[in-house]
Amino acid sequence: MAGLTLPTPLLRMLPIAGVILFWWAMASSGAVRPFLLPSPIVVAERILADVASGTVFVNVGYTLYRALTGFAIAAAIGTTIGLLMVVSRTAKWFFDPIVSVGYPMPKISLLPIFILWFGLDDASKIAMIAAGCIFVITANAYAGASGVERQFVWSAQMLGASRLRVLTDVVLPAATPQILTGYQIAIPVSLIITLVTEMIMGGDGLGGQLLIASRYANSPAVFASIVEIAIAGAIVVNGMRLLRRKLLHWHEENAVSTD
Amino acid sequence: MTKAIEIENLEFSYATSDGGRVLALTNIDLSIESGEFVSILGPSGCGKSTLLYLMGGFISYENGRILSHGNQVTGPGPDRGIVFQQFALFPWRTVLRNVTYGLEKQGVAKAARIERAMRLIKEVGLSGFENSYPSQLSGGMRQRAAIARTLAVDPDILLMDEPFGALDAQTRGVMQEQLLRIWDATGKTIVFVTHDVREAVYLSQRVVMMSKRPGTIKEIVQTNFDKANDVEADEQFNRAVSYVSSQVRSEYASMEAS
Amino acid sequence: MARQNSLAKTSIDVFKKYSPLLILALLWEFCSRTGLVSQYALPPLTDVLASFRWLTTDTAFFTHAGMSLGRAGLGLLLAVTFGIVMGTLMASFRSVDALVGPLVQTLYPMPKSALIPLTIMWFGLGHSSKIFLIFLGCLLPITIATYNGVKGVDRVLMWSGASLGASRLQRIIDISFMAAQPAILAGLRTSLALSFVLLVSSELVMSNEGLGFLIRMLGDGGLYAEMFAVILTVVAMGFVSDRLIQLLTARVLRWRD
Repeated sequence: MAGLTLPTPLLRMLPIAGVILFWWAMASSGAVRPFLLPSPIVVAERILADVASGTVFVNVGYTLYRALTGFAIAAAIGTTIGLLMVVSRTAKWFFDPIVSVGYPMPKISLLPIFILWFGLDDASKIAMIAAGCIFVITANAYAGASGVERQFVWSAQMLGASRLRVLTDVVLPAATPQILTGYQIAIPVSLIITLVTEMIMGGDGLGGQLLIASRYANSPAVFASIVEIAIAGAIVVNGMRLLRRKLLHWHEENAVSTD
Repeated sequence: MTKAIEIENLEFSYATSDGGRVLALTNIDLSIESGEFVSILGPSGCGKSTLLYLMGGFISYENGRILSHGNQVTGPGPDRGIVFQQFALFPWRTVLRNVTYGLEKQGVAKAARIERAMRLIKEVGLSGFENSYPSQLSGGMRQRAAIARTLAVDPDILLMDEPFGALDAQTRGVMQEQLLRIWDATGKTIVFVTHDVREAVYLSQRVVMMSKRPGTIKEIVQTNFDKANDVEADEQFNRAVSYVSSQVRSEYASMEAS
Repeated sequence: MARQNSLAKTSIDVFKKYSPLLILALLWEFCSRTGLVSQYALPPLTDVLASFRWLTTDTAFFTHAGMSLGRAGLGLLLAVTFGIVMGTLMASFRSVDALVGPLVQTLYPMPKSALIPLTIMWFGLGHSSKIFLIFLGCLLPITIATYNGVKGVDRVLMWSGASLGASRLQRIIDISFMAAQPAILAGLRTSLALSFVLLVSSELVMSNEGLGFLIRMLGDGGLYAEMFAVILTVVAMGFVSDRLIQLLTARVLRWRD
């Protein structure tokens, strides 16, 4: 097909650049109040100021600390429960309805309960984050472990492995891709919940920063915070993706095509 | 009378994911008369399915010409019906609504559509299953539904891409007989792609043998002799099968060697 | 006689399946009533359920519930409409994909809840900000689900349609869209859950109506049994709506094996 042969990454940037250009045009034209749509240049200046003063890094630090702590707790408990559900029929019977009711519900509605129990500090935030992530992680861990092909298990048993060894040497590695999928879904969720808890409870962290900006009706700061949050989110998501690629280098999904 | 299919000097290559180009077909010259039953046979990767898709207009070509009844092929159309190995029935439609699809597109009135479709469904032996979904049918039944669907728009030419490849041996035999009956009754031109030598020799009047990639027409063998019911004992049939098989084998051998 | 038995059997199966929840409920009641856990932090379940009486008569409970559902519903409806169209166009026309694709990919990983203060800045505390937020939040997942569904359509289905005389547009509607339905419905299910999350989040952050607002108000006022009751309502809504989507999916996809 005859046509432009620009290098593809460049081509993909064009629509984004177009949108930013359109944004700048709208802001400069005066058609929209600067309060509602500050110029991208003003927003960029604010971002640079945040970077220079270091405040954004401090806030990113708080947010990531809470998000990852909550995530880690959810990962530890959730993975264990998910695997337990595969080995123990009682565990499956007990946790199944809990997961199926808990999964589709908006966990954030439990935040007032956590605040009641743990106060207005990090504890309630982290508890909330953990509660928000645990269902996804459990469901995926269960799916991964229960989906391990019987032939793998039988081969191991035939070769003389004990029940525990089968679990650790066969089921766990085979279930890892799905378990990691659960983690990959949970990480952005942990970030989102952290932001919302920070917005509701105020204070520091990226969510708190965003809330304060909006309370002061400082729209360049609001836009700047959103961009900073987006970048932080992208870094975390991509980091998780790279980690998955590294851990699963042996898996088919990363096989180089031999066609 | 214009020929059903005329291919002149066709060459076809496609781009690969790493930017290279693969020559799939080269130097293809082929004429198919109206009402003929022709098989296209060849080793895997020789491009026989690609050739069929080009005839059907599903893939576009740049070098050479493909004419159907004198008109250049520029895209798919109801004059060239296609039947795929994977049946390609619309799984969300019942058998009846699959068969009426082409008629729907032609704007035929509902009652007339259903009447024509039910007749075809009866002809292919699927009466009683018109309200079933494809997922409820066996492989052979799905293929019959697919054939009925294609016949509904009354194409002059039937392009068939290894249509019985996914069926078990018994069902395949039954379907082959049914196909011959349909051909007898309708007189359509049939272009039949297969890798099964016996099937090719049994069904068709001519067997077009293709070389390994880049595919070209190696030889065309006449198989338009009387084929008795008990084909196993037929000397002429077996000789033809022998010959064609040896030709195909030699292509495979040269594929190994290179 | 046989039907009676199977109905009894299904009821027993359902009971067995959900009995752990009953056990948790009993545990809750026990721990709270006996004072194992402070009644202040965990009001007894029976008190919580009893508070529904007052809630539904004295406060504008149904109004708040209706507003919340309405906001979520409208936002989701807009997201579904635009998302399906956009996803289908992107998957069917390379020019649209080139134009819109990079935008979708860049915006997708952004946590939509970060937009809460922005939508409030733009639309104030009322309905529009929540509807817009939910619309934005659910738009991309549905677009991507539709896109993947349409892209994944087997080409032999499209080719069959073409050879049966269907035009480009007809193929998109008759074949692409239909074949993408499983993916679209899966996307709808996750978007439904997401719409609830965004709704409650935004109502907890800043609102003066809706169930999220009611929860905050009750909590601020120290009416914890009532607060638990409204939270349970939200939980129930999430569960029921998810079940409904599953039923819808089963009905629409009854052609599957």
